Amino acid sequence: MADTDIHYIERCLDGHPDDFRYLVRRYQTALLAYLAGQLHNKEKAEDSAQETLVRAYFNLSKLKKQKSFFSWLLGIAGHVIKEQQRDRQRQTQIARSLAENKPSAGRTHDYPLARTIAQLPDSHRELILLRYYSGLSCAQIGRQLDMPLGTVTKTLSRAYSRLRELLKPQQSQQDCEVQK
Amino acid sequence: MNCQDCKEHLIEYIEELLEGQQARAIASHLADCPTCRTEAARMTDLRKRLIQNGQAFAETDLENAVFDQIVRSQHLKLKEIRKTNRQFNLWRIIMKSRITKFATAAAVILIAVLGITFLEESTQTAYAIEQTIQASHTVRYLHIKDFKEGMEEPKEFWLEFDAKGSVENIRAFMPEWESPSDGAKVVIWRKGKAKVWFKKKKSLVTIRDKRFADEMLKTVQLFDPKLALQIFLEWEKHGLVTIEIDEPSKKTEPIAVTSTNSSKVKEIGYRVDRTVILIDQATKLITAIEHYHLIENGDYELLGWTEFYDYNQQIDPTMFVLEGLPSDVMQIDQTTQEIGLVQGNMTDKEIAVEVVRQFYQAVIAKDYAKAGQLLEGLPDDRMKEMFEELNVIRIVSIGEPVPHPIPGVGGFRVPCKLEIEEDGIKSIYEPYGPGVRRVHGQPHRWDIHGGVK
Repeated sequence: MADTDIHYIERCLDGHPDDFRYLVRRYQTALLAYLAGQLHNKEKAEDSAQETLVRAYFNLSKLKKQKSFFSWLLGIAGHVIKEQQRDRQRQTQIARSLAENKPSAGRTHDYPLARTIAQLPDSHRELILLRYYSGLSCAQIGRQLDMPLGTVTKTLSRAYSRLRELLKPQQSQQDCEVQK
Repeated sequence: MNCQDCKEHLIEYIEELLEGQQARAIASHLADCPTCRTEAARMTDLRKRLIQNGQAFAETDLENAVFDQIVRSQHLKLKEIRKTNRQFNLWRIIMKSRITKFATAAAVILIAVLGITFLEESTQTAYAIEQTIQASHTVRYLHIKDFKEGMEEPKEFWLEFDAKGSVENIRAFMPEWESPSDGAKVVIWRKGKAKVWFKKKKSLVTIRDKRFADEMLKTVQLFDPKLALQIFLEWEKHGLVTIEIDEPSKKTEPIAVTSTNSSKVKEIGYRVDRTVILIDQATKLITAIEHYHLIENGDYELLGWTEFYDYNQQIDPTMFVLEGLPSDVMQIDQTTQEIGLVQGNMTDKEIAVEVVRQFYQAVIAKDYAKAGQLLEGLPDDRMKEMFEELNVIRIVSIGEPVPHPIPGVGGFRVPCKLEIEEDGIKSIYEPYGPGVRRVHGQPHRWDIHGGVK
């Protein structure tokens, strides 16, 4: 998997921009979920994800470790978020109240979960995004991040615990609201 | 098993990574221990929530929007370069160490974007360049090795040109690094048709797709010494590069033509910053082309290089046929084998949808022979390799076919959604969208030519 990231990055750098499609397809969902968690709004997240990917394309030659493409992408997304937040501090409040919904079943976007993932430490966040939003198996993640499978599962386990801790206050708040 | 052991392996259990014995031990502990059971239920709930949220976000597709924006930005940036550099068209002859190289692949894109056409007779330019273009017109045979830094094995090409200088025959060796999924392969190109010997997969495929054959020709044209220098001149004319020529007084040393890309070229996403073309002083023929990337401290780092050998030394004609291959090599002739589906009374759009439906049904049933027959007649072992990891379990939907977006391809692109399962997790997968079109030479039949993953 990681080899193919490198393969497609090399192809792009050799003047085959069409091959960037493979990288977009592979990481767009994870990137979008991360940005939605930070920006609390799907449309803004989509715009920012697009901006992040385009910036990534034009800066591929600056990427030192091609194997770390996804973490690098999240780094660019971080800059895009900061710029977005500077531009529209007031709007965020409105967007939050409009777009943020309680977690629910089915295909609606679970913003509280996305926001909580965005708060995780980098290593935990990357793993959760690759596993559940990019659809990589634990073994594939291990190969991509140069980690033994045991380390992947241990880190995933810690990421679960941390995620649950962070979700707890939200859960109690929702429970209170239900009781009211 | 105690609670501590159970907790330690719970994530692996939930992710279905444990073997039978271990999985049973955990299951049995969970049956007996309400505390661990509650813990497992909470983790499973969270996992379910993560998967559902992943599926919800997966419904958004940014691919085309991102790609369109990249292409638009490249156009705008190139226009800007042309505007600001229109007047800059000076030749400088400087005695200087050679430092650059030629962006071959990138050149293709730029030629397309700028609408450059090659002139049969090049304009009067620097002495060495003009002479080299003329000398290259007499070349009938050539052997080329194309190296990439860090890769031991080069790509290799043996070329035969006709009397007018057009490519007549090609033999190409592509190492595994060039396309890891195919493995190393030998391609023979002759009169617009290509045969590919996939060495690892032990198959020899006569390719029906004209685009593949055309792409092979385009790749080789980038190494054609006549065109290499013309591209160079065209770039210079558009202000994309500045050129320096170093002609050493010592006749045994090569002439070095150095082209440095304008900083704007970098902005459009290419990493080659300098190209050096080395030319033999006696024959005026190119001996090597080197490609460099500018690194932070102002130094240039070598990315790859191309070496030119055996000008006009006749290549054995058997090099341009693939015969005497090992007996276990499977031969597939896509030009004669019946592939795809018969259209019958179906409309063009109906047959496109039907081909896609039958293709994924075959993939789900793991009937790789049938799937391959619908995908350009690919051998079933190749299909198996392509689809083994992607465990398709259901066709969710097949959408309305749309005209294929890539000019010249023809037929339709058929958007579709599949349900896949990996490590026990089901998710929705959207392939790029299979491209379906009439089979070349068998117009009553339709098949898929790509976009299935």
